[in-house]
Amino acid sequence: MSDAVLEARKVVHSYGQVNVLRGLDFTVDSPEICGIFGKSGSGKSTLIAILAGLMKPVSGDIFVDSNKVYESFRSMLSMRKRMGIVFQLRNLLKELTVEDNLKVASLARGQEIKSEEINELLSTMGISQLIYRYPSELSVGEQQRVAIVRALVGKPKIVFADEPTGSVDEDNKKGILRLFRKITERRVPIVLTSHDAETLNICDKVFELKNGLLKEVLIT
Amino acid sequence: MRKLLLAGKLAKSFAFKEKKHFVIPVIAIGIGFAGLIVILSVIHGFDALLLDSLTGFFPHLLVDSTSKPVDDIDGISRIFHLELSEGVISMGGKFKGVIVYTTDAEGLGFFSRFVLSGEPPEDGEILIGSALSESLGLKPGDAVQMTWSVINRPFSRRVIVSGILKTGVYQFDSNICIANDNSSNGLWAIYLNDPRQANRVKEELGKKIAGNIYTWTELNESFAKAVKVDEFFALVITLFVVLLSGFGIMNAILYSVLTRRHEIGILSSLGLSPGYIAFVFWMQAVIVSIVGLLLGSIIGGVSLLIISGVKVPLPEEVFYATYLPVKFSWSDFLLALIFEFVLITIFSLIPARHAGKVDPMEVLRYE
Ligand SMILES: Nc1ncnc2c1ncn2[C@@H]1O[C@H](COP(=O)(O)OP(=O)(O)O)[C@@H](O)[C@H]1O
Ligand SMILES: [Mg+2]
Repeated sequence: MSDAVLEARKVVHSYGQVNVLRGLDFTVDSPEICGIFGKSGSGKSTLIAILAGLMKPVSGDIFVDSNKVYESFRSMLSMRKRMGIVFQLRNLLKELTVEDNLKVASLARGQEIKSEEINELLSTMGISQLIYRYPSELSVGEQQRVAIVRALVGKPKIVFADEPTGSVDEDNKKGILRLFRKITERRVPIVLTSHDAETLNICDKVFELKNGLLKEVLIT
Repeated sequence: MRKLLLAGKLAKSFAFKEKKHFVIPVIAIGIGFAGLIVILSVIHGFDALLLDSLTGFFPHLLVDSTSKPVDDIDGISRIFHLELSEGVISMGGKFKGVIVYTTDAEGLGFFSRFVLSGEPPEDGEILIGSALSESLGLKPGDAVQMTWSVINRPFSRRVIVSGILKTGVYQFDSNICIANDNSSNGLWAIYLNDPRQANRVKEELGKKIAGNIYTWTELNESFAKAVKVDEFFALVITLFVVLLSGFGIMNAILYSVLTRRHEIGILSSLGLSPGYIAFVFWMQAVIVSIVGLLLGSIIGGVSLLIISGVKVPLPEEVFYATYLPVKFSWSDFLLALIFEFVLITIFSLIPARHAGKVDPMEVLRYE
């Protein structure tokens, strides 16, 4: 057994007749950014969901600290509590302010976050002015930044992001990528998907998802 | 604890952001509960009126004893001779079964308070109930043939109607005749300060005298049954109101769950358990029913004040009450409140459980 943070072994998944993942292996073992790219429909979102403990694969399993994520429903829930995730869009609960969104996340993870901590987290991410706003009062780029901060609440072991820059303009994209860099400064590994060259540029490792398998692409 | 508060907060913000979908169930619960309060109070009002009229007239205890029962027991207000017997009065070929109350001067003194017109009976005269007088077309001064028995001795004689009396209870007013006979003996009528003490007084009296003692409840079982039937109907109405409110709220929560799949997905991706997510949605139902029941209590309370203030008139010949009687009972109110609240919240568990079953993948499927 390696000392990997996260390890996917022989993950197979299909939706009915559609085989999406065909015995895929994947390891994350240091606080680095792993980028996964692939054509639309290649299975990136499916893979992220399986890695993050959101969906049980048809076969294979995910190991975190040598524990099986899909051992039981309980182990799935505990994986969800130990990771942070950023989706492409609509990450936040629109009924709650930014502050309350972060509080929900920390309580969901069994911790209580103090207002000072929220302030500190938001200001290191450069968005402390957004704290009392509702998601509807934020731009998509700002919402994504809040979502990234939320992914960090409760000191996750790993952060996932499924096309986090897929819906934002160039300026916001740069800001968001800087945030991901800041996350690795906290020694939290990141797995993100994208089909955008600029986003993949900030990655330490890049994989291509094709025909249901991952292949590392050497960055030149 | 923090998590419970959070669930409350989530539920509150979910419910308030979706106000328009909860307005209808809140109003439905409110109107239903207000109606329930009014109906229960009217049923109670009728029952109370019936029992008040009954105990205002009918003896609280009847004692079968040759000697006059002692009146040194707490709560006895009057004792007099009273003989009850069945009889028939006839007039120009019309016959009518009656109950003849034969009593002495003291008894007549008491019954005279019910006389509508005419005079208390002298010897050879009778008082008759108002409904009886109407059905036979009798008025004071008219003569009838009356056949009855006193202590198993049959009598038949011409008597003069001296007056009409009205007790307020149709069952009495339609068949009562009161005759004056100082020689009658056998039964004693006892009236108490509080008719609800009848059983206690019966027990105490039973230790002192040998004869049989009957309470007004034992002698008027049909009234007790009428009240029981009323209680049953009150329960049925309550049940239907609660069912209606329950289905209304079930529907609203189900709608909420269906329109919030995305939010549920987010909560689920944060690691919140299905049970907790269901709890959040269930809390919405709790909030809605609290607001609805509060609204209903206010509407119901105001309606009762208006009804008792305005004194809604009733057709007297049907109801024997001149206006709609209402009697508010805190215990009934609290019972209905708790019953409705508990059942509504149990109902809403069913759709709330669906919330826990939503897949977190919902969030990823935005394309
Ligand atoms: N719930 C589903 N039911 C059936 N097919 C699905 C479902 N979700 C995804 N798919 C299919 O699986 C394949 C991979 O989807 P996805 O993981 O979303 O790819 P990507 O994120 O790379 O675009 C696609 O062909 C898609 O149509
Ligand atoms: Mg996708």
